[in-house]
Amino acid sequence: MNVTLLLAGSLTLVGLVFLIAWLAGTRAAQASSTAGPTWRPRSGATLQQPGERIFAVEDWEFILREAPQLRRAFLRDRRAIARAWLGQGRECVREIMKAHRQVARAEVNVSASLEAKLALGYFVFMAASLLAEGLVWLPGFWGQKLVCKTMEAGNLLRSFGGAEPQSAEAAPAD
Amino acid sequence: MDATYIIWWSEHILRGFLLILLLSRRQYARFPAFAVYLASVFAAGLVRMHFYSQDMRLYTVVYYYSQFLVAALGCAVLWELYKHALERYPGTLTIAKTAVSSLFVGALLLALFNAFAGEASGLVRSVIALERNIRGLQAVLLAALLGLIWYYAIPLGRALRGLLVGYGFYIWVNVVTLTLRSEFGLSFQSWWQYLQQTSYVIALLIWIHGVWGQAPEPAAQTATAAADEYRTTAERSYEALSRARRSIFRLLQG
Repeated sequence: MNVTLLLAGSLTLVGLVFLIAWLAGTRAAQASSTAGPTWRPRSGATLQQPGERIFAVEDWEFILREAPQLRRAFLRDRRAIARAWLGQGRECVREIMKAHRQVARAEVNVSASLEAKLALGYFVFMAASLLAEGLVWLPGFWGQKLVCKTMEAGNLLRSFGGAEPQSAEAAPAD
Repeated sequence: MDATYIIWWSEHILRGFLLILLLSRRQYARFPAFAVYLASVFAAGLVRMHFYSQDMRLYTVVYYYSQFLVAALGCAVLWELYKHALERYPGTLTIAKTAVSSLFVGALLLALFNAFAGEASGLVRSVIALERNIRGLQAVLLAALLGLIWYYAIPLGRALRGLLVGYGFYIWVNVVTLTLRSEFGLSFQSWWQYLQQTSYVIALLIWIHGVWGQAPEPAAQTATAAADEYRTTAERSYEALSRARRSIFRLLQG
């Protein structure tokens, strides 16, 4: 048990050493070529997502009313969009954290506990977002359920009656 | 000539060459702990080789005593790596101090726990296991440094990167081989010897490659932050992160 643990830990370490040294080297090259102003988040880079348009309830209603046979294709498309939405959220958070770390690493009076809290929150968010993305792509019940939840997250199923979510769950699995 | 001697001589030659490089390029002033470490290993290696051919029993004693010295000097090298990697990033350096202190407290608590669990005597008896634990602690400290370098996107210069990669590789091979040696005993002895020596030769080549070029150190990318900018940015980031996390959790619920 101890041997396996140590070997696994050591292998991880050596992988980390090479990966980080390579990444740090790339950064060093970038730093020397762009020794300019520090990075700032893109203007308007907030967590506001374009979900309201993406998950518009009108599309879903239209499909159910006019072409119910396309429900499956519609859900498949929505899955791809949900994936893009999650990816965009991750990118946005990554940029916010990048800007924060640029300030934090140069600040003498940095708070270790606040940094630890932020780092933990960041990794939890990243893990949860990746998990959600994985679930969205799962065929069958879980994937479809999550597509519906994604729609809910976009506040777009509020105007739905009781029938629509059931319809969504009843749609055939990919 | 025995294969052990061939590797041994390669080690000496490479180590001597690296020492000359450090001196000629004035890198010894920048990495004094590393230079002292190399010089000590160089001297210890020559003494060991002498006893290896003369008296095997004495060689074993000399080996373990000198190995402790080398392992202790390794900690100084690690400290130097921390210092150079983070010296231009005071915020990250503060975090590193907290992290290293926490790791040492953790290691101390673990040692106390082992003492009460009756494993300490076993460790004292087994020199190999003790050295493995020292190397293990170094590996953890190195991993913490690498984590900070990655998380805070600290750029590294060529020489520092070479030292980090070479030392990381050497520690990794040491932890693995010492674990296997203490687990399998004498049956792994010859493998252990060859693997340790070969890994050291590889580490030396990586170090030479790092010290050889005289690439300029990357400029520190430090922001000239206003007095309260850190606090404001941290609070804003925390809020944004909490909102994003909540939205994902809502998605995952149900």
